Formats: sequence, structure tokens, C-alpha cells
Amino acid sequence: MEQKNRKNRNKTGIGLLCIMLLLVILTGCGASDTKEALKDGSYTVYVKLLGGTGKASVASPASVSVEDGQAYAQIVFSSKHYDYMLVDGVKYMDESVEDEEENSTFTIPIDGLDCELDIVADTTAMSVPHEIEYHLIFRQEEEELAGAEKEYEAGQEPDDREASADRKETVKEADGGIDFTTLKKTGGVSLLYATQFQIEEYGVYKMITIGDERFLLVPDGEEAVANLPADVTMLRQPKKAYVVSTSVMDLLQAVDALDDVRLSGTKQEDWYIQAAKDAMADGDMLYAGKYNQPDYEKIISENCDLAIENTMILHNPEVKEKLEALGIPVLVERSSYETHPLGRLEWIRLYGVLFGKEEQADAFYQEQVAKVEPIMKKDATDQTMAFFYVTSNGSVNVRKPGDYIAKMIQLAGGSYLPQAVKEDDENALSTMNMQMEDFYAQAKDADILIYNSTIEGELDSVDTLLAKSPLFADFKAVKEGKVYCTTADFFQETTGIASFIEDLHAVMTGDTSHELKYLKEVK
Amino acid sequence: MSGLQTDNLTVGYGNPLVKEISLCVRPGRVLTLIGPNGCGKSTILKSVTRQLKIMGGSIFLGGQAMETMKEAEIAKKLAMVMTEHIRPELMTCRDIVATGRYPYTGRLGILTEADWQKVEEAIAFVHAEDVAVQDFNKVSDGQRQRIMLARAICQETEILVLDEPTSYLDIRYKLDILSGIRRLAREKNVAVIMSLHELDLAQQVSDLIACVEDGGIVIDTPEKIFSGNRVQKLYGVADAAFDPLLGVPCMLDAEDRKLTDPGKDPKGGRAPEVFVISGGGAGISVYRRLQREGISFAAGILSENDVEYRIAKALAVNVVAQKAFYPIGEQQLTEAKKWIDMCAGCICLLDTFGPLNEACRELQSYAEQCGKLRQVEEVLIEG
Amino acid sequence: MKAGRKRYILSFLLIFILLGLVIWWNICSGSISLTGEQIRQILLGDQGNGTAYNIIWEIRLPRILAALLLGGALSVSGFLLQTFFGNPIAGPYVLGISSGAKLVVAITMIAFLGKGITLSSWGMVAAAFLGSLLAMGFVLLVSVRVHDMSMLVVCGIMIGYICSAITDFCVTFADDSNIVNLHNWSLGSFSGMTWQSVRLMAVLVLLGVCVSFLLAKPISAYQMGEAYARNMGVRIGLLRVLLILLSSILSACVTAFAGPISFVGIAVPHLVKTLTKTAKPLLLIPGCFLGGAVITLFCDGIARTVFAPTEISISSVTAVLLVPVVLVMMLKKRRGSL
Repeated sequence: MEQKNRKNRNKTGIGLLCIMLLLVILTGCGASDTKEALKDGSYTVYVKLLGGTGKASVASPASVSVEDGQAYAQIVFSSKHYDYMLVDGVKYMDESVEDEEENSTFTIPIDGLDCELDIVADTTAMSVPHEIEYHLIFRQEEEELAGAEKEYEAGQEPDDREASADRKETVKEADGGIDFTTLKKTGGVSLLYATQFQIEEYGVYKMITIGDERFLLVPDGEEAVANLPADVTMLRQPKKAYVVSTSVMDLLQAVDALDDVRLSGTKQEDWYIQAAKDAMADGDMLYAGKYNQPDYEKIISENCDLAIENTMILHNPEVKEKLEALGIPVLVERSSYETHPLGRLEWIRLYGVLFGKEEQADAFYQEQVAKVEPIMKKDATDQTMAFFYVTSNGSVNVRKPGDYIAKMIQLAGGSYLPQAVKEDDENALSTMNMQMEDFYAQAKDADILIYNSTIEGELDSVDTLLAKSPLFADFKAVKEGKVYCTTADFFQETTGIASFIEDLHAVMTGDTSHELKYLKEVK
Repeated sequence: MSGLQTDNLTVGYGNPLVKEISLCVRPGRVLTLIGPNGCGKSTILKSVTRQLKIMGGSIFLGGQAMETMKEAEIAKKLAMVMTEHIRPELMTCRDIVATGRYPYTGRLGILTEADWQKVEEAIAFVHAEDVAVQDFNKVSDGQRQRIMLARAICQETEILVLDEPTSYLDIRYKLDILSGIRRLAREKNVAVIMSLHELDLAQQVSDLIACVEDGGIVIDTPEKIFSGNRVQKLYGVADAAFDPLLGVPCMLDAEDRKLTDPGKDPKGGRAPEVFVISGGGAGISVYRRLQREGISFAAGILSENDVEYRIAKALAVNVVAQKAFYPIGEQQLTEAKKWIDMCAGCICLLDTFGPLNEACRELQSYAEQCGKLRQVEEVLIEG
Repeated sequence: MKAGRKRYILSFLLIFILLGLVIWWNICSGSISLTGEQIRQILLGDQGNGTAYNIIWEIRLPRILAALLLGGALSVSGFLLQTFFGNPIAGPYVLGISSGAKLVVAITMIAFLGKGITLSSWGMVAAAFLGSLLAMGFVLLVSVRVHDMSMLVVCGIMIGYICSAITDFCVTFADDSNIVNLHNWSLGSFSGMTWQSVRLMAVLVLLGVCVSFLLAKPISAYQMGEAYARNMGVRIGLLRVLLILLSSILSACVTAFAGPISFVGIAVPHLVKTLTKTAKPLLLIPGCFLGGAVITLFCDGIARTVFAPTEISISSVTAVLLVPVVLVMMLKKRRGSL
């Protein structure tokens, strides 16, 4: 299994790590050996930009000013589409004046006049902003530039690549497939709202990072990659995925990737997503047991190649470990940790990458963002809204103020009640229980009440709500007849986030022309 | 110094109950503890068997101090039979006896042929062969105690401790167990220390009696203990309530019905209603019957060595008696006649008379002459 | 004596036969059907059909072994405690072991996972083990000071209550998902056993059972009551500590790896006693181990297959199957004795 391979690699890796360290110390950034104390003043230095597609370049020579011994170089790109640069993790903004159509200019610190460094520049030239990795070479003598360039092209020094603290480098001969160590990072997907995942590009391969886990995606038809670092799992484009999370399924069907899903963690009758229901009815998708007690036999007999689990699996780590032991990579999606609703939705781009439907995913996402952004730009209304349900033992379950639903309400122009009771954002929980009296005190003047129908089903009438507690009769929203409940399919249909925001906005502004999709009026 | 010995042993539950006990039981001897309830007999025995921590002094088993001995060593020196019934699950009697071999078996407790042989011998010793294969919980109490004794025998110890082994048992098993204990002591040279409530049996089975009283212990031979009113004092009963010679308790009415002078009018006591002419033991059951029916009586003329004399003495208002080995004379006859005069009726239980109690025949005719002679049945029914 | 011996041999023979049958049944059943011939080949090492090979070796076999080992552990633990307390309804959890485990697992789930820190499965196992051992430690402390053993049962029940109360307290602050998971955990399951777990389990369980077996002699003396046991040379204090330790470690093992599984520990000793008609520890310790293994594996097989691919919780199956059996036995016994 892959685990065994990785174990073998580990053993040789540790031994050779020492040699690597030695090399790192010796080669380093060349300037460190030859660094002399620079005198303050202005200098002229020749600079070359390497990497990316090769079409971009940087004006040479460039001016360098030294203040207090620290050198700063002014870099002017050949295009005006770069909005920021990343050097050593620090962001530098474009200094050019937009109206005058100047090329993107940045002032960055450098280690002396003869130096090389890796940078990242974000280009807005394409439809979606894109980060590209480049390599800059500075030399005082122009002739040295060419030589330095050749050296760089020839031998990629390992220390130039980002070294993450716990990655164990290995140099063992590749046994089938492309050696990972020969791959260069060529860019990355820049995300608009999502914070819980990252995608970096290594040529055709994509490095997906979620939390502590990394996956290298090998698209259809490409060669496998060997010599991966220990924490990276190789992933071929999945054709028979096991999807546990209902919200993921909805995103997948939006990018038309359901054909690549073979196993589901939800029974047919529990699906609201019609496409999933149909697939199960047709036998294209099979039920493989609950997430905490999956039917391992079925999973491996169907040759499942990827399991997409949600954070609930962290309570049952043995299931994840068992699946991995059986050779099935497990991707734990953390969309529930996203605080911005559009961030949650942006995970569709990850699935787009995973299933080779990047274009569709990006297009869909833009569409949704386009729906929401106009609303976001509008002025906030003065409407207050509460989103809750009553639990079986009489307390009220509300969203925490940092939760994505609360965010959606804010984006739609309203404010969420109850207000921050005690903000402990470190907690990954998104809901909390409160006493009925507290809820009454905080939300009785809410303009609009929205009842969460996921647990018990939709509310038929306001009387049902009053039956739960007579206090509800006192609520302003009840008196004014502005009580709504979510539809049963709301939580499963993650793609409907934008529509939901539209619904919220319509309800807040009293726009009766908009047909509500995920909210129902409760009379 | 073999056998069991204690040196200034003090026992109790928190507070010392019996202090400074120094006793010694040699192999082949039986020492019985007697005393009222709560005096400390069981406490002493529990302390010897280490169910209770001793409060002072020391115990020596076969000359060795018990504190210095390991559990396994003690197990080979001291065996016990307690009053409480154990309730083992699914064990046959033979299994129970076999547990006695515990100190001699190996790691896993499996018995060898030799061990099983000893088990059989022990069962035979107590005559329990017929119940050997039955479930222990299904046999009678008496048979259970037999088996427990067999178990202790199987343990092949120098010392045997028994705590009221005959409680709950009927007369047959009482005799059975105690005779077994006696045989054990004699034949296997075992030092036995036990406690009993049955004073008559204690008298018969023991070599030494230990009276536990007033926080102390007095040890002596049965002859010395069972004499005078030692025992009555020990148990706190009236002198007449117990006959130390025979070891027999006697039920008494509350009033003292003793009269010494036939002419005297009893103050607060009742005059006898019936005079019983008896002898040779014939009167014992009648005395008892009369006492049960509350009929006070006088008896005579008995020789002091007559078997029923002591009982008559205890139960009757007065007994007209003659010293042992002396023929009954005029004096007694006259006395008896006076008593008959006092009584309402008279019964004679003797059919034949011998040369030594001719006087009784005279007495009978006297009663007849007085018209007081009755049949036994009449008198008894009347009461 | 001869009749008894014959009965023992027959009983063990029966248990072994049942063991073989139930193992074969479990190997053959599952959501993927394989023929007997295929299975035989795979067991002999034929790696031809990779998927089937994995199913047998990586999924079914570890699970079977786990059920056998843990079922045996529970039964031996139950036997030790029933003998120790002289109480026929004492079970492996009478000393509060599972409550302690549940408490620490609850705290772990809520504290760590609530903050987004992930735990490996060994972390959960360690948490449950820790909880069990804490409960056991407490009981040991009490047992050293107390001479009346029935006090220990009271102590165990008290621990159970306190732990449950604290668990409920923690649950109040927990997210719904945590509560669901805790509930699921406390039902017990053999799903997803790996060979590493099985190896560790085997070491602990077999060690515990062997040590118990070596204690067969003092335990059989103990069956005569403490007074007689002491008289026969048993070191009561040491025996008490060992019995508590052994039974706790055995049941802690089960709780840590599979969650609390109810009723097996109470029922199996009774069943084996009825079968062999003896209470001798020398026979019952292995008897309970094997009998418990058979019964637990049987129940797990049922839990797995009846509503596949949904699994019924193992505790439900054991309770539903074993309660009537034990009731019938106890009634029969009542009629028979006295």
C-alpha cells in the first residue's frame, strides 16, 4: 500500500536529510557569504525575472536605495495587471497610479546588491486573480546575470522551494512516475472568500492543502507522481468517490460531477437533492453505511478511490484510519469552519479542481458571487432577524454571532439577533443553546423570525410555534406576521446560499415580487 | 510446646472484651469454652483464626508465634469449622472436603491421587460416604457440618478450632459431630478448642472447660467446673435451675416453692396438692408432668442415690429422702405420713417393693387408709 | 467424579465446535458475498483477487478476532467479579469502569474536538483507558480501607452516578454533533478494527486471562467464603487487589477499543456454569473466555448482517438475545434448588 512506500521513504529520507541540511547551509542565499555592510545611498542593479509563463519581465536595470544598511529595490513589471507581490510572506501593494496606465511597480527589500529571491506576484490579467511564482536575480554586473540565470535553470536548489517545518525531503530514486522533487510550483488559485483550503499549481498537478493535510491531485491522463513528501497524499482524479456530506453532494451536482460519485453516506429517502435521489434509485449510487460505521466491504469492492468526509469524522478517527489503511485516501472537508457564506460556497472550486470541472465550478461560483455582491454593496437595512429552533428539552438553539448564517443575514443587510453574548471564536462550534427567557429578552423585538426546519421539519403554522412556548406570542415578529421557516432542503442545498441571501434581502426589504426559494412564510 | 497456646491474649472489637487469656491445649486434648451470649467465646475463636485482629498478647501454634508464620504455614497448623453456613455454588460434598487439601496442592490446586485418598479417608472418618456425591447445598445441616469437619480433617492440622459446631443440629448430629471430634482428638492427636452451648455435651466431650466471664477466663477440669453453683453463677440463673452433676437444666416457677417443715404454713408459697410415692426413676416423667400442669407436689421416700432424687429435689416442694446405702427408716416414714396428711391426694408409682423401700409399701397403705390414694390418671387430668 | 469429568470434556468440545462454526459463519458473511472456496484460497494466502483479499484480511478477520478477544475478556471479568462479590448480577461494569471511561471520552470529545484539535484513534483509546483506570484506582483505594466487600458495590454504583452526572454537565456545553457521537460511542461497536488494535488487545487480554487462570486456586478457596479462604492460607488483601485490577483491566480494554458492551459479562458465566455444572475457576476461566468469545462473535455477526449495510448496536443485540436466556436459566434453577 501507499503507506508502506511512504514508510520506506521515511527511513532513507531521515538519513539524507542531514546531507540536505549541510547543502542548505553551504549554498544558502549566496549573498550571505559575501554580504558586506552596504553604505546608504542609491545604486543601479541589473535584474532578471524567471518563472511563470515566461511572458512577463521586469525592467532592468532597477534602482536600489539603501537606508540604514537595508537595500530596497524598485521593481517595475512589464504589465499593469499585478496588484500585489508576496516577499517572505509580506504583501507589497502596487505603487503605480491606476489612471495613468503605469505598469505595476513595487518596492521590496533585498539582501544586498547581488542577490536572488523567490517572489509571488498576483496577476489580475485573467478572469480570476491568480498568484504566480517568480524568481528574481539581482546582479551589479550585467554579465553575471546570464550566468546566474543558467545556474538557476540547471540546478533547482531544494532550499529555494518553500520549506514547511514538518516536511521530510526525500531523494530516493523515483520508482515509476515523475519525481516530485523535480516539480516547480507554478502558481496557485487565489480565493475570494474561502480561508480553510488552498490550491497551488505545480504544472498540471494541483497541491490541495486543507488544514494539516495535503493532497497532490493528478488529473486524468497524467503520469503518477512519486517521491512525495510524507504529509502529501497522491490523489488521482476520482471516478468512484464515497461522499458522506450532504452539502458536498449538492456542490458536486452543480458542477455535474455526480457521475464520479459511487457511494453515499445518506440513504435514498433522506436526500432532498433530486439528482442524488435519482442516482440512488437508478442504482448508480449506493448507500454505504453511516459515516461512523461505513460498510468497508462495499467500499473496497466498489474500488472507491476517494472518501470525502466532513468534520464529524474527527470524532471517529478510527474510521478515517481504517479507510486509509485500506488504501482509500480520505479528504476531510472543512467548509463548516468557514465563517463567510461565500467562503463556504467557494469550496465548489475545490471540487471543480478535484473532479476536473474547474471551468464549470469557477463559472458557477462567479455567477453566485454576482448575485450576492450587489446586495452586499447596498446599504444595510435596519431590520433585525433571529434564526433559531426549539430543542426537545425546551431550550432555544441559536447560531453563534460568528456563524455563517449570521453572516448571511448581515450580508443581506440585516443584523442578527441575539448579539454577541460571549465571543469565543476559537470554538469551532457554530450553534449554542440558550434558555427561552434569555432568547425572549434578546429577540423579542426582532423584526423577523426564521425557524430552522432541519431538525423537526417545516412549521405548518404560527400556532405550532406558540405551542412550543407561549412567550412567542409576545414577539414583535409574531405580532406583525413576519415569521418564516427554512425549507427542508435548505441545509442540503449548499449551492443555494446566494439564493438564500436573496431571500433574506427580499424579506427584509418587503420585496414581494421576489419568489422565495428557501424560506417559507408561516402564518 | 505443641498444640495451641496463648499468652496474655486480649481480644475484642475495638474495646477489649476478654483480657489476658492464657490457655494451653495439647494435642489430643479438647478444650471447650462456655459462657453466656456475648461474653466473648466467638471473639476468642475468631481471633485465634485471624478473622479478628488481636488486641494484645500472642498466640503460639505448635510452639511458633503466629505473627512470625506465613499464611501457608498457618494453614497447615490450624483448621476450623465455623457456625455460619457457607453457600458455595455447584460444589459436591466431596469437592468441599477436597478444599481442605488446599495448603498441600500445587500452583493450580489440582489434587494428586494421594490427596484424593486422604479426602476419602476423611469422608469415611465422619461416616459421610452416602452424601459425598451430592450437591453441598442440597444436603441437611447435620450432614453439612459433618462435611465441614471432614474438610478440617483433610487439612491435616495439629489444631482444630470449632465455633459452636452443633448449633442448628438435632440430637443425632450433635452426638455424631462431638463423637467425631473426640475420636479425632484421640486418634489423630489433634488439639481441639471449641465453644458449645450444650453444657451436658460439653461436660462429656471435654478435657478442659474454660469459663469466659467478666472479661476473663477460668480454666479447669469439667469435674471442678460442673459442681456446686459455678455454672449457675456463670450463666446468671438460679442455683436450682441447673444440675451440674447431670448437666441438666431445670425449669423453675418464679416463686420459691421450697418448704422444709411439713407443719409450716408456706408464706406466699403453695402447699403441695399431691404426694408422689416413687423410686427407681419411675417418677421423673410424672414430676415433669406435674410441674408442667402447675400442680405442686411432694415426693418420697427416695434414697439419695436414686436416679430421680435430684430431679425431685429440683421440682418438688419437698422430698422425703434417706441417705444413700441406708434403708428407709421410721423417721422418714413418719415425715412422709405428715406430708400425705397435708396433701389433697397421693399417687403411688411403684408396683413392686424391695427390702430397702418397704417403708414405701407402708406409705401406700397409709394413703389408702386415709382415702387419699388416687390413680395417676385422675390426678393428672385434674390439674 | 468420572461423570463430572466427562461433562467437562463434552462442554468444552461443544464450545470449540460452536467457536469454529461461528468463526466460519462470520468469515463468510458480509455485504460482499464470497464463495467458500474463494475464502479458503484467500486464507491460504492467495492474493489474486485484491479486493476480496482485503475484505477478508483487512476487514473481516480483525473484526472477528476483536470480537473474540473482547467477548472473552468481558466474560472473564464478569466471572471474577461475580465470584468476588458473591453476587450473581455483578458484571464488568459494577465498579463503575464504563462510567469513568465515558466521562473521559466525553471530556476529550468536547474539549479537544470542540477546539478543532484532531485526535487519532489511539487518542480515543487512551482516553477511554484512562477513564477506566481512574475509576479502578478509586475503587482500589476504597477497598484497602474497607473490609465489607458489599461496600465496594456501593462504591462502584456511586462512581457510576458521579461520572454520569459530570458527563451530563459537560454535555450541556457541547454541540449537538458531540452529543450524538458520545451516544454512539456508548453503544459499543466492533466496526473498523485494525490489526494494530487487535495486536494490542491480544496482549492485554491474554495476559489478563492467563494471570486470572493462575489465580484459579485462591479464587476457588475464596468461593468458600473469606473466613475459610484465609484459613486455607490465601492472602485475602492481595487477592482482593489482584481481582479488582484484573477485572478492571479486562473491562477497560473492552471499553477502550469497542465502547461499553452490556450484559455479556453478566450472562456468560451463568451460561457456562449451567453447561459445565461446576463453578471451579480452573474450568470456568477458560470456559468463560471461550464461551464469551463465541457469544460475542455471534452477536456481532447478527449486528452486522441483519440490516446491512446499517449496523445495529452490539449492546442491543446482546441484551435482546441474552436476557431471555438468562431469565429462563434462573427460573429453572430456582425451581430446581430448595
